[in-house]
Amino acid sequence: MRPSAEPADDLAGLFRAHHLELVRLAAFVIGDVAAGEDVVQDVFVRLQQRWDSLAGQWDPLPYLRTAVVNGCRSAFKRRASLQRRHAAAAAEPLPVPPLTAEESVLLSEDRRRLLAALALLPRRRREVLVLRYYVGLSEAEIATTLGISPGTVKSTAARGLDALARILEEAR
Amino acid sequence: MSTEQERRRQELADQLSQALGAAAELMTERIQASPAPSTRPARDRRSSRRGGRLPGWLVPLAAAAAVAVVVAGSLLVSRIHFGASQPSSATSGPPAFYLTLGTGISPQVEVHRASDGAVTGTVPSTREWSITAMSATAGDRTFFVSETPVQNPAKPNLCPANRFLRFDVTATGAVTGLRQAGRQVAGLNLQLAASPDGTRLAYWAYCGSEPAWGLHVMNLASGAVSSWTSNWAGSVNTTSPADVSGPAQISWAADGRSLALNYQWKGSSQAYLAYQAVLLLNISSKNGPIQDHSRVLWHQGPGCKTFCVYYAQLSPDGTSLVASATKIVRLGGDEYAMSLERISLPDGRVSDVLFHTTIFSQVTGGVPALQLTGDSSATYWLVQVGKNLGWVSDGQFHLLQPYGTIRGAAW
Repeated sequence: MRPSAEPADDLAGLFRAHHLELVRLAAFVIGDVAAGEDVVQDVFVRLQQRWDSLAGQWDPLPYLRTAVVNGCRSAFKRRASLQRRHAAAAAEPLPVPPLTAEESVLLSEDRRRLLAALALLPRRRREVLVLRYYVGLSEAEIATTLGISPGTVKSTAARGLDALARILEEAR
Repeated sequence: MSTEQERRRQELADQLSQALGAAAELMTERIQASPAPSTRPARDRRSSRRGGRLPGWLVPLAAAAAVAVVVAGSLLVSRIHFGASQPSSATSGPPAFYLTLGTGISPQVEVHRASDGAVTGTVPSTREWSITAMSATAGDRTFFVSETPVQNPAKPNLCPANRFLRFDVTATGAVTGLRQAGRQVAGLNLQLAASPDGTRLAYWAYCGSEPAWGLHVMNLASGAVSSWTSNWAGSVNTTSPADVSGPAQISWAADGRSLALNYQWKGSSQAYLAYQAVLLLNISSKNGPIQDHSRVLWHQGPGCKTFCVYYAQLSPDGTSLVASATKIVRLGGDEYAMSLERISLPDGRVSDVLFHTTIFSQVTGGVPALQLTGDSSATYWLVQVGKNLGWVSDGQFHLLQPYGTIRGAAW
């Protein structure tokens, strides 16, 4: 589900064109729509501060995707830090599918299970699978977004799918 | 790596893509109210959200709205070409009134005069209960709504209470005789269909534990409820058109003995939304698995490549379906040809095109389709075309009002 390539000459246009898809991307990675909105909002605010020096000289979408994924990682770290401070047994927080209970019931059972299994994957695998099968990026584009090699993208995606299959099988 | 392993991965990847796409559509409603960054700094937005992410009463309504979002699957943009006008052959006019379910802080059902769209009466949501679905009877003057208690979003009840209200509309459109109909039941209800004579209500209810969805018919006089569940096993690999898992769109046969259920059956194609089926359930069976008491009237996919049906409703006489079909005119573009067509039964052939239009749209997911509700004669169809609500008969679209301010309509 690649975002539309709507022309965006100004920041507001860029926001209108890509905000929805970026929030969805963040929500799938971080497991929470509200946290995803915060991540995307922070990315745009930072971009706003640099906009005059960047406008017209670059393709903003790859930058935005990378910034959103990095923002999600930072949000995870903040959340983990808070948990360590306030909880006795602090493991890395597990994301959950970013839907409300009412939204979840509108999904078929198999899709609910699949999204729950996705949320259990390690962060890197989840990022790769969401970028590949939700955003629809190529392996090369994912490699650029995440700053890893195309070969790593390919192997991570394959292992991610295998892990999903195992989780689904064990849950039966 | 074996070919078999590669095939399994590809199949799982397809399923994951579909699941993510469907989930993305469901969360769209919550995301789209966000303003541009230049108008509202991030810090302000965070602090305002801390006070409450989503008002409790909005939750069930958001779910109801999400149904429309999933089916419509798009944000439609303005340029609409209506089909050519033709003289009407109808002998009687369309229903005198129609209902809309509003959006906003206090969503309410409004009664509108069909001749000019004017609001003639209202049924407000209360502080404690939110309206989630509505339905009209064949008499054109009696309507039902279902409502559920306002939810606490921090602790949602997955099996909330549900009650039904009945009201009548006077000749001038005023609401009269608002009262509870039947007995209170358990389960979140997002689909409601009153029987043609108004004595029974059919509804899907969600109640948490498996099987999550149940189809129910309540006799309003006695309060007796018949229930059916799906014996669909839940596997994404099943490919039977009888795989209904709920909540399907419900329409009654005119004799009140059967329900037609329109749903998306489980295929593994990327074009998953085009896997549509209509199943006819014999409700004299009272209880049991849906598949044991029903037959598939019609189904589509995976061969659908041009005009694909995305919604179908049984005509009252049971001899045909009236279906909303969409053709992607420009692949990867924004142009969609949409039609309202009659599909004769049992051969499944398109026997008549009732209306057609072309819509240019910015699609955020899925494929746009006409949303429709037929009157009791199946002659007049209440239709959402892009951002407009109107009615269709004999190929002509009659504009009633903008659709943007409502989340559903019925007559």
